[in-house]
Amino acid sequence: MTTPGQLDPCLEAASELLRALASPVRLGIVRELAARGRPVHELVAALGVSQPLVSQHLRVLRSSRIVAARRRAREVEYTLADEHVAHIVLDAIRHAAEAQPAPGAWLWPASSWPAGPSLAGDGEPAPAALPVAEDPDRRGGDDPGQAARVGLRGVAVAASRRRPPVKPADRCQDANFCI
Amino acid sequence: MTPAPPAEQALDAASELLKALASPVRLGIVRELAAGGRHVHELVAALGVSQPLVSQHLRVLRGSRIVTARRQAREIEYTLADDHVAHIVMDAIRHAAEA
Repeated sequence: MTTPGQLDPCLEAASELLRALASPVRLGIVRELAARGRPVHELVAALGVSQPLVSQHLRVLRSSRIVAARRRAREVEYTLADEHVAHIVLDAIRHAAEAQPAPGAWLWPASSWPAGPSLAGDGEPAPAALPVAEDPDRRGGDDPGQAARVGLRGVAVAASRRRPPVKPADRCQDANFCI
Repeated sequence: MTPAPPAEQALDAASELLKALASPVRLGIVRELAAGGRHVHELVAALGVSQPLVSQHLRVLRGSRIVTARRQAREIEYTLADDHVAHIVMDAIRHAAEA
């Protein structure tokens, strides 16, 4: 029996990354950090949300290793862990901008907007997922892989014919296999 | 109620897009479609998962306008709605591979 994670651990890890980014405040933070490293108070000013909320979302981003923190004099400066994350976020915002009728220079950091945006309504710090009813991965219980595993019975042979066997792994280790 | 500023709308919409992509099966589907349009049976063979599961995830991707469907003779071909989505998925997989 296979799960999507065993089939291709990179997809599981990439999915975790996207889940960790999928929040308006966290996307706003990453967009700010794409320009340069910033201390918390600059993120608070740029995003127009409370300091505790920014700190909460920074914790999520740090635990997902999207953001790194380093002490500089009396302040902690936050930076992006790598450039892929910035590309992901800017592409997602560009896609969203094209899908909507209203045009706008949304790719610029909030600090350059004429009227500061308000993200105060976004109070959910934890990585969110689709509602259970809409997400086939999550249907049928708290175990995210359950529905997928049920659907996977009996098709492992077809999978092994297409791709070389991959050892089950918690982390993705082979970029050549994944891409 | 005043409408949300465009900046906030864009972040909300981008966040919805990432949620809709955040599933191993959906990422696998998008990675396949990044190479070109595919029929369901081709996705099933490439991913090694059941056809009902692929169809379920395709419904989520179509609902989020990430994937479009068009009828070709007797079959439906699925394609990516735009290139950004392919870039997002490839960058996410690369990041995961390097982490």
